[in-house]
Amino acid sequence: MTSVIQSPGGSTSLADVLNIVLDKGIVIDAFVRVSVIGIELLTIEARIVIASVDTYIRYVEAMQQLGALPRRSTPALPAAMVSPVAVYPQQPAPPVATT
Amino acid sequence: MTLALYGIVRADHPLPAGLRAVVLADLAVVVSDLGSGVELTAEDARSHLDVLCALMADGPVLPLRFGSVGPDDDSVRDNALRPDPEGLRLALDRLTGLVEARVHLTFDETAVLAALADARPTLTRPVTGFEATIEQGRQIADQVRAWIDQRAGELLAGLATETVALGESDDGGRSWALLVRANQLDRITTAVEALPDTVTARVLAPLPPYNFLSLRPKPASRWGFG
Repeated sequence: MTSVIQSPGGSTSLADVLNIVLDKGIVIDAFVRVSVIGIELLTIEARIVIASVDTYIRYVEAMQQLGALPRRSTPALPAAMVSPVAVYPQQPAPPVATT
Repeated sequence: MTLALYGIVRADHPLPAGLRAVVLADLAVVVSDLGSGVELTAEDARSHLDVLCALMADGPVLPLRFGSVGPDDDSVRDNALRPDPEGLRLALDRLTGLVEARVHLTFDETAVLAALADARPTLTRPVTGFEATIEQGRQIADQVRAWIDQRAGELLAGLATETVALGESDDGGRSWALLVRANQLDRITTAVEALPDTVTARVLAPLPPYNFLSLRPKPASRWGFG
C-alpha cells in the first residue's frame, strides 16, 4: 500500500498539526508561554490506557487462534478468553517468562 | 505590546508579510505583534506551523515553542539570541538544506501477529484469568512493538541522516521523524512506493526540524520577566 508525500498546509488535519507543534520547539525560560485553549490532553491520556487494555485482550485472542490453527479446524477459545472480565478477581496465574 | 515568537533564523532570511525580525548581528528571531490578552486556539497552531513552513523555503529555521510570547524586542534579543549565538549559528549551519519528514507506518496486525506466532510459539499458549491475560497481552504488545521497530528500521534505513521514533497513534500505527535533505524527499516517495502490501505509509513533509533541535539556549538572566 502506498501514498504520496503530503505537504503540510490547509489539508493537514488539526490532529496532525497539534501533534507536530505542541510541546516541541526551543523553550526559552524567560518567556511566558500562553496556554492553548480547547485541548484536553488528560482525556487523550486516559483514552490511551483504556485502548491498551483493549489491545492486549485482542492480541491474546488473536494469538490463541493462531496457536490453535495447526491442531483444530475451527479456532476455539478457552471460555475465560471469550469474556476475561467474568473471571475477575483473578485466579492464581503462573508468571509468564520473558526473554 | 506582546510579541508572538516563531523561530530563529539568519538575519538575512527573507520574511513573509506580517512578520518582522528582531535582529542581533547575523541572527534573528521571527516575531509578529500581538495585542494584549492573548489566547491561543488550535487554529493558531495551524498558522504557527504555516509560518514556519513558509520560512523553511528560504533557509534553516529553529522553531520556538508554540505559544511563546515576549514582552518587547529587547527582551527577545536578550533572551533568545544573546545567551548562545554560537550554538544557534552551529544549529542553523547543521540544519541547512535539511527538513523533517514524519513517516507514519501502519502494519497489518494479522500479519505481524502471524509472524510473531511463528517466531515465538510461547506467545500463543492459552492463559486463564484476567491478570494473566493482561500480562500475556502486554508481552505480545511488547513483541509487536519490537517487531515493528525492527521492520521499520529496515524499511527506513538509509533514508535519513537521523531518525527519531515518535509515539503510537490510536490506530496502532507508529510514527518516525526523519531528518532528510530537502532535495532528497523523493527517496522517501520511492521507498514508500516499494513497501509491501502489509504496510500502509503516510508521510508529512517538509516540516520544521522539531525533533532535531539538539540545543537549548539558556537565558542569561530572568530579571524583569518574573
